[in-house]
Amino acid sequence: MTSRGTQVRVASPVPARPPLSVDTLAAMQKLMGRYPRPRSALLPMLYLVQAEHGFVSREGMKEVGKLLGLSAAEIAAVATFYTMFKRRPCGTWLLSVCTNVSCDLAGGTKIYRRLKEALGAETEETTADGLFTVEEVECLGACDGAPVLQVNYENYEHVTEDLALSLIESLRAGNVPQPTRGERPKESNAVSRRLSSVEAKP
Amino acid sequence: MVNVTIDDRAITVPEGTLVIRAAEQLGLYVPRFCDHPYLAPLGACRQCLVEIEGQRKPLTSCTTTVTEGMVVKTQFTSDIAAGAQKGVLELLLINHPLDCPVCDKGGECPLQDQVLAYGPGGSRYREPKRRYVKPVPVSPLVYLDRERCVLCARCTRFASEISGDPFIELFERGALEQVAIFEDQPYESSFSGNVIQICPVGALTDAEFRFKARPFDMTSTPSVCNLCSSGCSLTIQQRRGQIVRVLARDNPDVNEVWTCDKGRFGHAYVQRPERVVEPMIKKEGSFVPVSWAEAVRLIAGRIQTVKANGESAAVLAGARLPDEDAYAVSRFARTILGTNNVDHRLRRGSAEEDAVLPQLMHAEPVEYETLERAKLVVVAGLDPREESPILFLRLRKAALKHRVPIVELQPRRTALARFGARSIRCAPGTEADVLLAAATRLGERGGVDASAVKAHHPSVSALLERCGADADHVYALADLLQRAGSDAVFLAGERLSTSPGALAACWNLAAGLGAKFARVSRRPGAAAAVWTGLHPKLLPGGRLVDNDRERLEVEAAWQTSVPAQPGLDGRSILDGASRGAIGLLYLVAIDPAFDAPDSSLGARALDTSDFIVAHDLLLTESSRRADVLLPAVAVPERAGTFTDWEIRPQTFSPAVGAPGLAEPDWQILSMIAAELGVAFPRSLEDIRREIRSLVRPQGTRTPVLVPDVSIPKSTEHYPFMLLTYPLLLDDGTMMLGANDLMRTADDVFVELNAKDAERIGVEPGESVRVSSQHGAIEAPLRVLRDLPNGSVFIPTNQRGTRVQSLLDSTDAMTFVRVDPADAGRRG
Repeated sequence: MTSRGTQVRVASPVPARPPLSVDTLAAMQKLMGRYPRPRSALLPMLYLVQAEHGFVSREGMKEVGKLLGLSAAEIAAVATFYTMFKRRPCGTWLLSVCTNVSCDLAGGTKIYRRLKEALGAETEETTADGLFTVEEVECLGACDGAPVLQVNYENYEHVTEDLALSLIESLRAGNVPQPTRGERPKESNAVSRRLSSVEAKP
Repeated sequence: MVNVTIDDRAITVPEGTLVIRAAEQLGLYVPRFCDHPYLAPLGACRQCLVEIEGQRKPLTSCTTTVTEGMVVKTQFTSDIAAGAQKGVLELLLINHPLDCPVCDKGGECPLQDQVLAYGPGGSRYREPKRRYVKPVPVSPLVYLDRERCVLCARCTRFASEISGDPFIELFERGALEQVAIFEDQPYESSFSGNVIQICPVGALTDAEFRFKARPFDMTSTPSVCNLCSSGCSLTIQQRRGQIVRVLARDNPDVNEVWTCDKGRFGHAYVQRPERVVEPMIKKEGSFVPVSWAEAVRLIAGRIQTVKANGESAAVLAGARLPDEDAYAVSRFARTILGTNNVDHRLRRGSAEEDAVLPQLMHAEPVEYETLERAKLVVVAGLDPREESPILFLRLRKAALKHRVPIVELQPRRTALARFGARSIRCAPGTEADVLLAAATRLGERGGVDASAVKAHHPSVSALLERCGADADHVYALADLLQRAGSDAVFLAGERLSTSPGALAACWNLAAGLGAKFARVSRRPGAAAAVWTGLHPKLLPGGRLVDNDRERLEVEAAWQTSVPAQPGLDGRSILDGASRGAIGLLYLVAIDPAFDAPDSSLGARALDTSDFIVAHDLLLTESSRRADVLLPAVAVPERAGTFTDWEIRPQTFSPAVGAPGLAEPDWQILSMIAAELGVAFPRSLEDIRREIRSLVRPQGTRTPVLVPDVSIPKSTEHYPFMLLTYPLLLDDGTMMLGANDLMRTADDVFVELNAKDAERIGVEPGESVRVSSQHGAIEAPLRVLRDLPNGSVFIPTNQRGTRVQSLLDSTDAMTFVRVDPADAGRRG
């Protein structure tokens, strides 16, 4: 393979995961019962896999496929389409840095690079302590607050490189700072569970 | 109807017609990649953009339906359409490797053609192209080159819409979107070759055909598939006399545009070095090549001796013969050998089969298309995906697209259940009970002619108890039958013939309802074998040997007498031969030593026979035991006709030359007749003329007597009833050399339900030993949830195992015991 050209990233090996817990399977059944066609529960079910395994695991995809009567390929086709489904273990804190035009002009790319450097983690790789994953994302729809950094999908706007680094330090120390808007982010597994809507009141 | 104008020409088309189809009707070809007439519209590739008056932007003609007064301009009259198409082509080519000189698709590639016709001469894109690892095998048969892919989704749509094996999908998004399989789970499908054929670029290539030939280097011959009774139209492509590729050929009435992997990839046997290429005579235990003249003289002499001594002769002929050959064999047996000892079966016949078979060709024909219009299809004793894959695809289409209810009746749930067919499961051999119970229920409500149920049989509850079928399912079947009436279709597998009373019960139920009935056999010549008279009681046209008027019609046509006594069936011929009572055993394309139930009988019969003549392609267990072995041509080397399960005759002509001195079977028989100085057809046209005059549908359907069924009981020592039939890819002679194809074949297995498996104390995957009075085999266990209690399924003739060694052809039912494999060794 030549060095030029876009290559598909060679991903680090995906770890194996144990079978899903009885509770998760029960929650999946509940989700499937919500829709006229059980297949409609696919996305929420994948969030449940992520909540339990820390990412959308191969074992989880197969189990979801079995429950819905779909092939593993059909599940993976959906799981690989959406960026919020993580393909490898995700840290407790997912740091998403926007590097699209507005944020980039305001220093987004620099912040992204600085974070990677500080954490020693490659894109979408997780730090050895399992605390952080950093990713580069497209427009988050908050250009007025550029540059935007999200922690588990909560916005921290007008960040600087220093602010970003101190954010990491407080997270490491167990203090979750107040984001620019919305509530303090929960840990990533809790966020995935919430996104599954399994606990939402009808 | 809707009036539209395309490129200034008016046309009226039915409502709902797509613009691209309306344009085709005017002879205007709008370029396209993702559009396919048998797949749902998608609009993925954007190549078919056309200008439509009143629309702000060009629209994809493959997803836009016509509206009244619509004015469409294609690339022929609109700069906007032409410009849009050119733009799309440029975008599609950005990441395309432009490796046409080394691409298998080159020369028959829609992308190449479009670029040549409408594309730019050069690219404005200077940046490096996207690179992927390639090729990636998505199965042993199909290789994927993601760089060439234009993401039209034809392959993934075929897999999910048409064949229902969605193991190939579009993964990822944006610039990285790509066709893929899930990790190491291959694209497993009996129809995977179709995605290669419909790929509009060189992204999916044929593992075997890769780099073998250019389309313009090959000669294509239309042909008909000879590997099952579906009757697929094929195109056989040869280069320098070698078959290099087989494609599905469009035939909307039969296979639409599809064919199965067996038909597409299973042609290697034709050109194997193992082919028998010259006549051979056994001398001192080994074959010596001789001239045709010598072989024919020897056989003719033997025939004269046998007749002079009053010894009996018998003919066994395979149900894979083309119609003309089957007819020639039937006539040869009657007029040259002077015997009705002729059969295409190796098992016993039965009175009910004798009564139904001659009526089959006079029944109102069932065609593929009939299935889509039916109100109910009952599939009995047939596993269509394994035994007639294209019938499976059509049933799937009927169920999913036309909402036709399908009920399958057999001991083992098949792939039909995956798309909503209701399964009525009964113990092997008790299909008749289910049918009689449904008929009785129907009769009580006046839903069926009473004659259909008039038989000596127990009450509904007794029948249901005996077969173990769910009463609600049987009553539901009766309701569906009552509603469907004469719009019901019965598809009866050949296996019904071996289940006591089942064929008769099914026939009568269909006759009572005025419903349609078709017999579906696994083998391509099975229909012709019946109506040409490869049967001890039947003459051509379903005429009965022992009916003087009918026999006289045949005698008049042949201008010679035909024995009036019915002959021996296949099993009786083998029995007779094993006692040394057959002076001349004539085998045409059949392998009793391997295929006969209780195969030791087949081998014994051949070893004991005085004199065996065999026509064959290859040395088989049987042909190697012959005294005279004659080389026959394979189907792609000959002209002929196959009549598929619909009773639709389709002719074919030779695609490649025959090896050595091989001749068509009919011609070999004709040579022998000439040597004896007996009248016999001298050309294919002679035979076809005779067939036309003798085989004409006539008469009406009459109910037949359902025998008083007494089903043998299992014993304590042999508690399991054995069900066996071959899967699509078995270890048959015709699969010789199809190595990539056979890598997709299932491993041998033994199937039990979970309860029985637990009772024996074996986990899935562990080896079990299955034994009968005749023999034993070992294979890993699989658990099939709803196999009836006390039943075991083993595929016939799967690689490495011969279930035939367990069977006893005197019993319709074989009882076996199943033990953990190590138990035998311990004990």
